[in-house]
Amino acid sequence: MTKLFEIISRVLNAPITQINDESGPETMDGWDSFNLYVLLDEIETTYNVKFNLDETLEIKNVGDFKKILQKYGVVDF
Amino acid sequence: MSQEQKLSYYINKAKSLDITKYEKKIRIALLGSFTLNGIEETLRVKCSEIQIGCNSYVAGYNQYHQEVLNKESNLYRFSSDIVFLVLDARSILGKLFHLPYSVSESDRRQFVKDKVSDISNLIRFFTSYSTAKLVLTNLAVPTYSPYGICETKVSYGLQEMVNDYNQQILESIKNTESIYLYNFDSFVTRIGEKNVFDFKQFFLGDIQISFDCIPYLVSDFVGYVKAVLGLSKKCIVLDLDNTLWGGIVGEDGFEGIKLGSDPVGKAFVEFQKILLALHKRGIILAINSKNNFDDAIHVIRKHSDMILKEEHFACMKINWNDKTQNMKEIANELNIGLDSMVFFDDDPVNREYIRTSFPQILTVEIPKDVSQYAPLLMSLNDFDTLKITKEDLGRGNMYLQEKQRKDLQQQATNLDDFLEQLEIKLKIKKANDFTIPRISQLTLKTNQFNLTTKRYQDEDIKKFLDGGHWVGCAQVEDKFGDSGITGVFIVKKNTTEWFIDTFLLSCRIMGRGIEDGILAQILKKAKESGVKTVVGEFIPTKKNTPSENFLSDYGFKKIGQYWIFDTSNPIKIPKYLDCSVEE
Repeated sequence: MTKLFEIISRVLNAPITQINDESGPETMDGWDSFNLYVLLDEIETTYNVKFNLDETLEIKNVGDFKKILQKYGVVDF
Repeated sequence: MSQEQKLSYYINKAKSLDITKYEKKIRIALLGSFTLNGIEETLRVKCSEIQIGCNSYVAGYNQYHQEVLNKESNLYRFSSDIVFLVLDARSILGKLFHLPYSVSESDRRQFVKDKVSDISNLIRFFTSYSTAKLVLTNLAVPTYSPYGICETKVSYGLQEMVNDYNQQILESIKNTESIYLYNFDSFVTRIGEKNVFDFKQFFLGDIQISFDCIPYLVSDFVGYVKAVLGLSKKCIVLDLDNTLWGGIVGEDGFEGIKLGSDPVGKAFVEFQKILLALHKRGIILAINSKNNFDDAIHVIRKHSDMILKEEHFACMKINWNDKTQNMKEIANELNIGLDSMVFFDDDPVNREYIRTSFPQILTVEIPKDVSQYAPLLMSLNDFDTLKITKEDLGRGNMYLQEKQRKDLQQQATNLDDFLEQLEIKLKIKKANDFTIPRISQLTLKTNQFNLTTKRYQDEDIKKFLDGGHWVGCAQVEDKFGDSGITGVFIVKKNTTEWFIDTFLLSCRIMGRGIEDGILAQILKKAKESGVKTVVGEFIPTKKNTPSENFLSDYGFKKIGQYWIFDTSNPIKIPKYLDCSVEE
């Protein structure tokens, strides 16, 4: 479960201990629309998947990233 | 092309930059027709990586017209050194980007003409309110056409429109010195349209340069920063074995080295051809190699596939001495700073040794694969200068003349005898349209014999002239050839006293009394004009010690931080100099 959190922590410049599935724009300062796209890009590269445009727009928190990754068969985050 | 970091690396790094710690500073504004987020952060970080503190300003989304046309805008208030104006084909072409054939050919031509004149007007406006360098991008030619394979059958089709726009913009700015065209189209060709333009990122946030490509684009932009700050490299120092040819000549022999015929040999030939082209544009080449001199020079002189000949190397250190010792000697003999040198050596141990001994030298990380030597060399933007002058193009030849001078010096019995035999002609010329680019270039890159190290762009020089001050330059010739314009001075004139704002001499001609000759002409002129006092200043830097004692040696007296010369004192001119002043 740590790999995804590590990416989020690095890209959004936030302590990994403060990240959980509910983390989102309200709880994380770095989570603005542009950084979300940067984060998305890095997650796609790391897991070698491409999110659809509509899936991208559904992402409201960290848990949503997991849901979509699971859809693409990623089990090890 | 070296691998770049991810964009998030730059975005995060940008947050914790402390630019106050850098001596060199630059102010950069970014204007664009689409989202520029990420570019600005990357630019600041990449500048800090080369010890430059970058202040930046990003104009609002698609606000470039308003910012340029409003004299009171934040753009002008920010007073940048460089402004990047990044435009894209979609916003310039508007409806015609998708439906180019919805209007007639003549309308398409008119459309392009109007757009070019729109941008040209913006540029004219900008140059009248700012002395910053403006870097304008051209447009990437779209690869898609609704006409498919028939696109090239249409008269003035979509691709031709964009090509024509690019050509017309190029023509319109070619002769404006402060404006540069960044060839964004060729950037897209190099990286690939599929990589640069990511439709998803485009729909999400009008991001037209994908995150992965932003660092590559910014690396190109940093080339302009280096050139504006005068940080360009002047000299490439090369190893020989496995750098200019394959194998080790001392072991494999003349016949055994790889150069020319086989694939590996071809890669070395290609590398040498790129080096030769750089030499022709004014980059000095030198050799620093552990080798038996006779073995190595035999290859350089006699090998039929050797592209670089002895005459192309301004200095050759082929011996068994310590490489750092050789490096210092090369810098001394060529009279250039270590920080204007680039070092190529296939051996990682040598590279590390030079890198730790002289961090100011750019030691290039050479790939193991020789096929990557040439593309690596081509990807360096460290040789970029804002202009290429006549002196640059003739530099190779000048170093050859320099060798002949050294031979003469060795034959001469004493220094005066040598200087006498050189038959030096010193011509003091005025600043004008022909000499200003070179004058500016010398102020930007001269470090050693430079009293004040003030850096001036063409526009700054023109301001001095407009203010009635004397900007002059010195052309030096001797019996071996013309060294071109190698000295510059700027004298601020008052009725009672003249102030030497700038006085510099290219390191190439130091040690021949030229500086005394130039100074004497300034003092003579002051005296003729009834000016009693000429004031000079020495502002010490890490590098200008060669000019430290110049004013006192000539007879200036120190008062406070300034040096004063009373023109009623004798004005010395070296007797072997033949001086003339252009009126």
